[in-house]
Amino acid sequence: MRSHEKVIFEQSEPGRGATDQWPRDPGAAALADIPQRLRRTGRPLLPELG
Amino acid sequence: MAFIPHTPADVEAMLARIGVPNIEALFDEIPAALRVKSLAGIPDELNEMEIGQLMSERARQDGRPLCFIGAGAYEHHIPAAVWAITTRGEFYSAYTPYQAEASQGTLQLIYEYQTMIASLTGMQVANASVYDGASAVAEASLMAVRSNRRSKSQRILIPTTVHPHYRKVAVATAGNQGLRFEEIPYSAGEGVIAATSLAHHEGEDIAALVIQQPNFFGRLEDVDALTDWAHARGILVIAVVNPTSLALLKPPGSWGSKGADIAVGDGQPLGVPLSSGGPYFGFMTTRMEYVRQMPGRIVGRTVDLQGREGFTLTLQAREQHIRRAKATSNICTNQGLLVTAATIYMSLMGPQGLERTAAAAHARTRELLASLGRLQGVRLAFPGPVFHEAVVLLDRPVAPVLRSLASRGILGGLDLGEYYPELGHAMLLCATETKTAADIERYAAALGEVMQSARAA
Repeated sequence: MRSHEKVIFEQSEPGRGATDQWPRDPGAAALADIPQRLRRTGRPLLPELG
Repeated sequence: MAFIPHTPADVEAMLARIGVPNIEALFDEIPAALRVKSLAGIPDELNEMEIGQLMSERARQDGRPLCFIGAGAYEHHIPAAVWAITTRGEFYSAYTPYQAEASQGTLQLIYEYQTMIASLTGMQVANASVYDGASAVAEASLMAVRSNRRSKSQRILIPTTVHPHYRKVAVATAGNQGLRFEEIPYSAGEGVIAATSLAHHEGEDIAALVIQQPNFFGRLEDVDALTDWAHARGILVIAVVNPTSLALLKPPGSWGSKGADIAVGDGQPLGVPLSSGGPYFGFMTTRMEYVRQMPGRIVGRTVDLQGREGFTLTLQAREQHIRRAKATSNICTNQGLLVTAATIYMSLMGPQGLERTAAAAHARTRELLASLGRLQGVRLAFPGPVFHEAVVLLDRPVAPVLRSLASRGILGGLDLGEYYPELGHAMLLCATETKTAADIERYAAALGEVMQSARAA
């Protein structure tokens, strides 16, 4: 086995992201018809890389 | 290394050695009535050049239509880096990394994938993937029966709002292992699971309830109430979810007061292109208390004898590792290459990018429904919130309308007549973040013209 290499989450930094890969933000109003009780309250733990 | 190892002379010699006249004779134990005489649409053997020409011709026939079909497989933007990295030689093998000492990169990637999927679903543990969403539902049903110690039955309640193909595969796979799938009707006016239909099962011994969110009609189920209803009766909950939607919608691990027990789905929206039905991959997650009943395999992070960190396969209750009779499943291989693409996709999108993708898809769908709602002879089948799909009703048969749209380069939706004839002239349509305002306008204009022509005819 190799010695410890960081998993991708250990290389993650809050706020970073491959922003040019994302679609444009439609704004919060676009989601107004989805009831709050069916919505996610916190973002999933995915790596934030740039 | 020879890639075509046997010459005709080699084959003759081998057949002569075992006393068989020809290769066909090797299959004579299969009754003639069960043998396929020819495969429709499949040509006789072709050389590489001829195959290339045939595939180019088939691709030309496909063209590049504007696609508004979802129904379990979705057109999303896939960053160019996803497949550029996935197809690197280091990753370009879908084979399971049995040799930990030679496969640390692949094992680490699957470990990262499991972490991401577990977080996305809000569950405690994920396996390394299964074939696809449909087989994941079948495996989850078998797993629920093994896991539910309070139930002595092998009964699974599966609403008709669950994808029809998933239901069919579950019955085909698990029905022959003794499981009974009992369909729950949907509310005709709302397109969601009818609470009254669940009431019929009060007091019965049931192993699990399957809940798809968003459901096949695109509608959002009242997952909290359904989950709590099931748990209050000792019934496990199997969630079937769209991974993109989970950036916006409550994850199965948070459904009701306890959360779902098993969460599965098709991972195709995460960086896997539409491809004539596959290959895609299924994801599967659960609570830690059921981890030993989960089929497939898990990659774990560990230390070796020298204390160095590394990754290895673990908890493999498969027939090739333990006694066949004790195996949880023998049709649960992981889809390594597709999982690689999904892991890279999720890493590039991150929590914000995936949330934007989901929100944009939802916004485009609302715009599409608003445009179509202005057309004569088109109306929404079910009121209420949807994610990125919805059912619309036409005032005439769907199939000719879809054919006319296809002739204009538009895949207008899925005709639901085969699956839900009671809905009448219904079609399921979808818009993801890939659709522009101009695309939606083009679709609405084309549908309006087709409907008007049909009325005039």
